[in-house]
Amino acid sequence: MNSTIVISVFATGIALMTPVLWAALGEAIAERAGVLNIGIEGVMLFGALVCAWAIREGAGIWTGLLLAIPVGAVLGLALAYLWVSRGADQIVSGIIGATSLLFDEFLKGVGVVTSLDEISIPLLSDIPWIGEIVFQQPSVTYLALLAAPLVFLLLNRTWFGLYIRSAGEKPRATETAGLSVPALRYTAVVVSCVLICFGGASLIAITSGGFVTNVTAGQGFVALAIVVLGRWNPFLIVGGALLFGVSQALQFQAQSLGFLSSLPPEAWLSLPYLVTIVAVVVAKSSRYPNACGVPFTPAGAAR
Amino acid sequence: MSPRHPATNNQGAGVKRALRGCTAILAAGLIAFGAAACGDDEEAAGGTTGGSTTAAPVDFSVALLSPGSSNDGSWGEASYDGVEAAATELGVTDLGHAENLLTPDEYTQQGAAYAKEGANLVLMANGSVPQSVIKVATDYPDAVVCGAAMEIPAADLPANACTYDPEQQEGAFSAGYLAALTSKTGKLGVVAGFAFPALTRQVEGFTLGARYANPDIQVQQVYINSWTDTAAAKAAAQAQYAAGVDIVFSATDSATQGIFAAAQAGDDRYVIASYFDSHEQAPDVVLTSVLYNLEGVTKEMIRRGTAGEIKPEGYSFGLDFGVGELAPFYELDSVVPAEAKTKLAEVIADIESGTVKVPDEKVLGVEGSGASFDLAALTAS
Repeated sequence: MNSTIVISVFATGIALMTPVLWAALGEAIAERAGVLNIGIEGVMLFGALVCAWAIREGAGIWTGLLLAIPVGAVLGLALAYLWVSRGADQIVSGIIGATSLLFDEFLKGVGVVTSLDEISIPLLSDIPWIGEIVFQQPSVTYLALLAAPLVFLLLNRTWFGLYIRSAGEKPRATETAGLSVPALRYTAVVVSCVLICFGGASLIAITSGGFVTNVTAGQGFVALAIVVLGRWNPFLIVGGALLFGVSQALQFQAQSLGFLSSLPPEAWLSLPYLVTIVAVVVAKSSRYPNACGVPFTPAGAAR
Repeated sequence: MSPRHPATNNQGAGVKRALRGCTAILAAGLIAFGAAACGDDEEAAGGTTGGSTTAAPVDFSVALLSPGSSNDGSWGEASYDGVEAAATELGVTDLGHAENLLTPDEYTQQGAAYAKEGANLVLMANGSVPQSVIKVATDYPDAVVCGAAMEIPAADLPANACTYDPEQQEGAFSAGYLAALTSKTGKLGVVAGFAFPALTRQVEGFTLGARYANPDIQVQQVYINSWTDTAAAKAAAQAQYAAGVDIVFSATDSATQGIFAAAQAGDDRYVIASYFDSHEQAPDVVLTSVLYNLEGVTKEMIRRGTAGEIKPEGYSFGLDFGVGELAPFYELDSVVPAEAKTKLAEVIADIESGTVKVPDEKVLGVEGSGASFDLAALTAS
């Protein structure tokens, strides 16, 4: 095993983790506010679809990425209505099927393959190893890495963050303090879905520019696990996403890894999932926000 | 010989027109309305089946179950096109198509649902579910159930079931032969979907064909366990290109797009696609596509069904039925050396005449067989 392979594994791992990282950061915000956003996979698929559609229409990759933001917001409002206002059971797998339907109608047939170029950051990309691994990535990857500290600040250093965390821990007390729990949760779900939807779009932007049915391949559910693994802390979530991305990248290098190449391909393919499961098991006991997944009924409201 | 170009994909223009008609609708999420409006547009724009004459309806209905979707630009779409062509040209009823089915229980349930609905012919276009073919055929004796790209021993095959098999290893073999003669680095890659005999024979067929052209060729093989995971396919191809591979053979479905993207990230990197002429998707990297004429095979099976010709046996379709032809090189024609083109034509003729015997699925369906098969046995009489 030589340095080229190590660099390739980590660089590919970082690229692979990008959509998952966006989604996990978004999910963390919703869960901190007390909403278990299970619609994550579907929202990612919508982001992917919108981005691919914009590219197909000739609007460019960035237009596609930016378009995912309002679409995420609209989906967030719809999901928040279901979960916060209607107190619905939080499973909305139906929207995955909807993307397939939309794809049939809008994007049937082949498109031209395109993707975001890698951007080398001057100076930083010249650092041996680290430069090649971290600083030669597509722009959406840098943005995801920048988003992590921003989400951390939002959650832990702002009034808004304090309010939504209280809505996720002790909603009744939050209400007593004069805050509107539904309004906080609505905002959190909308912000959450914007990030998740953008993550779905980033998947298209860094892979092929084209949508295929179920292109997210379960990454939304991986993001759910990574949020738990990262214990709702954006910095730890970056670590969790990286662990997943690198273990996924490793399988594709297995052929070049000498003695390891004799392992059956199934072993490599299951590696990212095994790593995620083991990490969740080994990590110190993590605790969901107290009121996560529990519908909240404002005092005095009729049910 | 320049490979012929079967008419597999003629829907681009109509769809683009339809798309333009809908540009304004999607953005705000007016989903149901948008879908309906575009559906109408597409019909108006000429549909997808081209100018074939429409046959009078016959009392025969067909249902298709496939691992891909009718728009995957690959295996699923090619099968579906075959059903559509049969509906237009033979007048059969297209009862429906269940897409993205992976596991045997999904095939069994969906197949049973169609059989219950009165389907005369149920096609399962997934080589990994022979048990579903047997189960549905046994439970619904009035329907005929046929499975693609699989083998079922005659003793286990119910009287109303059959298998039909495009001999994909032959096309993959010629693709490997071409790749080895075209490669400048002497290293080839394969990115494949799942490891099961009907797919493995393509991977190993490619490998064997490459060795037949150049015994010293190196072929890296990776299974990504997905038909649709574009990111995984891209990462797998990236790893191979980084290791010096200059031509990657794709044996997965829509995830293939990721391989194209990986090829586009560097110079002198090419892809040989499968199932569907993928030239339009990435004209700068798609060297050629291996076409298994799945559309023609599917249509032929439906024709045999309407004629009552299907017996409980395994039907196979080889190069002589257009299964395994290579698509044109288009603007990458200059990348392929003239000598390679001549030799490729000779090998294809040899396969058709039986001078070169590409082993069947029993041999090539096993991982590693392409690298270990005795080259001398290929031409032994």
